[in-house]
Amino acid sequence: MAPQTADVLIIGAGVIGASIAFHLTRHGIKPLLVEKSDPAAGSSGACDGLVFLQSKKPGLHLKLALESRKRFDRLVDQLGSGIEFRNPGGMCLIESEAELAAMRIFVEEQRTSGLDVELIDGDEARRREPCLSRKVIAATFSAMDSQVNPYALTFSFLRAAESAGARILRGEEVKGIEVVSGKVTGVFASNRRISSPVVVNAAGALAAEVGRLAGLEIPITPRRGQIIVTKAVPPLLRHCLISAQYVAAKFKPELTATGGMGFSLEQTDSGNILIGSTREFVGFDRRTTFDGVRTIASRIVPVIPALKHVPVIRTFGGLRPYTPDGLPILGKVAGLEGFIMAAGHEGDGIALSAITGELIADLIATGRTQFPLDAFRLERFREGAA
Amino acid sequence: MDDRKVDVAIVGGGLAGVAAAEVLGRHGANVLVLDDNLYPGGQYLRGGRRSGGLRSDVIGRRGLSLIERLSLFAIEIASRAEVLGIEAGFKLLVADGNGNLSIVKCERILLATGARERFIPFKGWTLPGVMAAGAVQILIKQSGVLPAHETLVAGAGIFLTAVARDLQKSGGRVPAVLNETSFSRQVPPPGLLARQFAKFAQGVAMLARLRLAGTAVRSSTRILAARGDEGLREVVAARVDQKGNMILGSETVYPAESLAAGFGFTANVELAQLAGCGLAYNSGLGGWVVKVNEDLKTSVDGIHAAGEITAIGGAAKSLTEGRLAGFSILQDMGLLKYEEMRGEISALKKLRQRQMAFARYFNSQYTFAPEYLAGWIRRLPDDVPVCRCEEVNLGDLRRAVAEGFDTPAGLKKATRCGMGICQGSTCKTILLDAIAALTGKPLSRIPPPSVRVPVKPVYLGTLSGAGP
Amino acid sequence: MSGLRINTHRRGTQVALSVNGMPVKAYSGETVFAVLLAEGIRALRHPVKNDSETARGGFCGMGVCQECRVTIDGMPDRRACMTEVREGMEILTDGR
Repeated sequence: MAPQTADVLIIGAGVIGASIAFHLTRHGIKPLLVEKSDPAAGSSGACDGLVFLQSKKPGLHLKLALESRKRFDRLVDQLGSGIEFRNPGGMCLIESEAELAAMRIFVEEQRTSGLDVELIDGDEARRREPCLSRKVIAATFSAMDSQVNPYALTFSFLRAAESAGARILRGEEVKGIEVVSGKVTGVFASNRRISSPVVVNAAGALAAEVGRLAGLEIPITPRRGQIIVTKAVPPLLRHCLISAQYVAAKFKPELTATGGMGFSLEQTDSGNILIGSTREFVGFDRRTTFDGVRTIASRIVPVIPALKHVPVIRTFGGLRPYTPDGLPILGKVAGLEGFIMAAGHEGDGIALSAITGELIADLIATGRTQFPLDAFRLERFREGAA
Repeated sequence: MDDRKVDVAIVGGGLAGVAAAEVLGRHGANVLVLDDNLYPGGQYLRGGRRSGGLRSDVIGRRGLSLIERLSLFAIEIASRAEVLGIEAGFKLLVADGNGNLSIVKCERILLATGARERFIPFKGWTLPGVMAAGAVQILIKQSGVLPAHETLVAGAGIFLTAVARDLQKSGGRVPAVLNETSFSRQVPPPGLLARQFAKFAQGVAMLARLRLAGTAVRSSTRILAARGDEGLREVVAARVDQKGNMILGSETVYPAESLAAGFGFTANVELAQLAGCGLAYNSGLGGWVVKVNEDLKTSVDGIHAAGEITAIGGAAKSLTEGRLAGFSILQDMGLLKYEEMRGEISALKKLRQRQMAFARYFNSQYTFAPEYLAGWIRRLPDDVPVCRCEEVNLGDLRRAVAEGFDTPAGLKKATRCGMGICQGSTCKTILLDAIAALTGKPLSRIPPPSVRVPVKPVYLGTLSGAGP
Repeated sequence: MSGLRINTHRRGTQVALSVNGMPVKAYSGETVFAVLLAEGIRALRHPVKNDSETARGGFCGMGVCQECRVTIDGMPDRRACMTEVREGMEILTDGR
């Protein structure tokens, strides 16, 4: 018999919902997750697993990411080695003088926010990562950058949560959210009403749709990232890698015109190499395209020539939940008691899953969080305070 | 191959593809046939004229003459050309045999991508020496090589008889042909028998010749295990009853270093799926197939489908459908008026219906009732491999289903089944059959997982445009 | 003529190639897969993950299963069943 009530109801069993569920059970709370398809069927199952600090905006974003990264070490003990967490260190590859100039400034800002990062020249980069070509003129390196298996992480969060009493409803879509006198009282899913005083919106790219069910305008739009997957090969990459283009263009938009598409790479535990990524606003279209995969391929082969004769065996498009200011939307919502936001992580959902789960669970269980969530509140967009 | 623009792109140079190309070429259409094989003619013609007496059959000769006529009409067949994807417009992304990438633009597409073999796994099926039945036939037809001096043939379906005869005619010994399907199910319905008497008589004659040459022909017999160390050494089989339960004491060990195992076919619908064509599940047609109307139009405007992908049905049906699709495309292009060819088209449609009736019988020989197949799979031990590439076995699937994963996409993530280099082409049907067996969901309600470009593996360098 | 070659099959010209450094004679028109079988080589690679798993060889014979991957003239992941032999070809088995 399916449940009719819950103490806490989480919409979405992606990595965010799963992490929140896990952390809630540490407080002795047994949440109910309502998932319209399968766990990690959305973006958490269509992304790479980079837990990359160098790509985060210095300031609050980077600080949040650092906190999250620190928690991963403990998660490995709590969740087991099945999450395939590895800490090879990460390199951000620089291919032009313009990028190098931008990165010099960026490195200073990163250090101010507490990230240990060093700038190295091309030869040193090649010494540490022999597969790199001479197109790489310099790089920045951070020992903390890591990687994980995103859907294995999601499943592991859920397994641990379930063994501590959490429940999941699979294949059930939330079609309505019940609000009475400014308070959330439950949801409607697949002909069933489930009452709950707390509803968490962890619906990722679909968070805006869920928000509308509660009468909220949530500025989360899907942004597609196409990723290429190669067949499994013997260990080739010693680090997780991104291009400075990926990072520098966030802060110096003029570099997007000159530098070409940014890329990211990791080699998973199984040996496959994941190469990303496009950034496209195409609605909810998860298909990959000729242009997208050809562009990714043509960007990466000159940088890592050894990949030339490695077969590509699949591609996928993940819809990243984009917000206008690049920060997730976390916490309570003014005027709607019991409704908690936990979405909008764009391409950082995996990396921020650890801290998000902890913060939201703490908020629900105790009303307090380790640091303030003001900067992440939904109202910031209305206030123009982004 | 350079970027091209043509009126009609035909994907697949097998019998359906070349039959369509001939019709189109004859009426002046600008056509390009893209075939991923070394030579046109598909799986049926493998080896063309070279394989001695094996190609002296009517359909084979027709196929070869069609290919010859194509060069007369200057219709290009690009061999070793793999279509990796289709986009609206239409655009086809093609990788040629030299590792070069190109785009083919066209107004219309005919998908004639054929079929591959379908498998029901058994213990030890990944041992060297265990091969698909079709693999053995191709070795004989194309390269003139036997897999071994002695080959056991087993599985389900009437294709097994043909492969056994090919082996024997080529000087190979076949100790036995073991068929899961019961003898009573092998007997065709009387109406079909009457209409296709010659075909069935031929089949009976083949069985007689097999027996005369000393091959034991057994029905209701299931492969239990293939055993060996570095390679196949022996095969264990047992008789099953009408429900598929093993009959105790009927286990027989066949020493064998070569096993040709076949369990029927499954249509190569992946490219059609990628292009947005609607699929349908129909066990009488061989499982998941591309939905077409009687003019062989798919649900996507401008895309036709012909041959095994509309229904597994054999060479003659492929020739018929290739021609029908060709005429339909000509009409769409305004190169032909229906009245001109009405008689011929009408005759082809009637012929197609008769061929579909045989197709249904053919497919019935390797499709099993849901309870039968479920019981069969449930009896398989945990260590039977399901996904060869990723080394996922049935026990892994069972554990994931117990955890709550019951969709192809979910099980793919939970076990890695289908994530290997073959892109699920071998294990997809096994996974779907296993989900049906373990969850009770009917196969028609377990849609195949989504397909993305590239539908065949391709070097990253080729995708990048860097060439070979 | 190797014991597994069928007498009635019309063969192309003889070609000389090497398999794992060993000189081998074959005939044009034959696939690499067929030639390897004719030489008694049917284990082409070892599985990566599971030590207890057996070796693997070609399975589907038509380019779909990817089990017959070998290195040909330095290029990895070439399907033996989809490649015809050529004079001077160098074939290496048991890549990954």
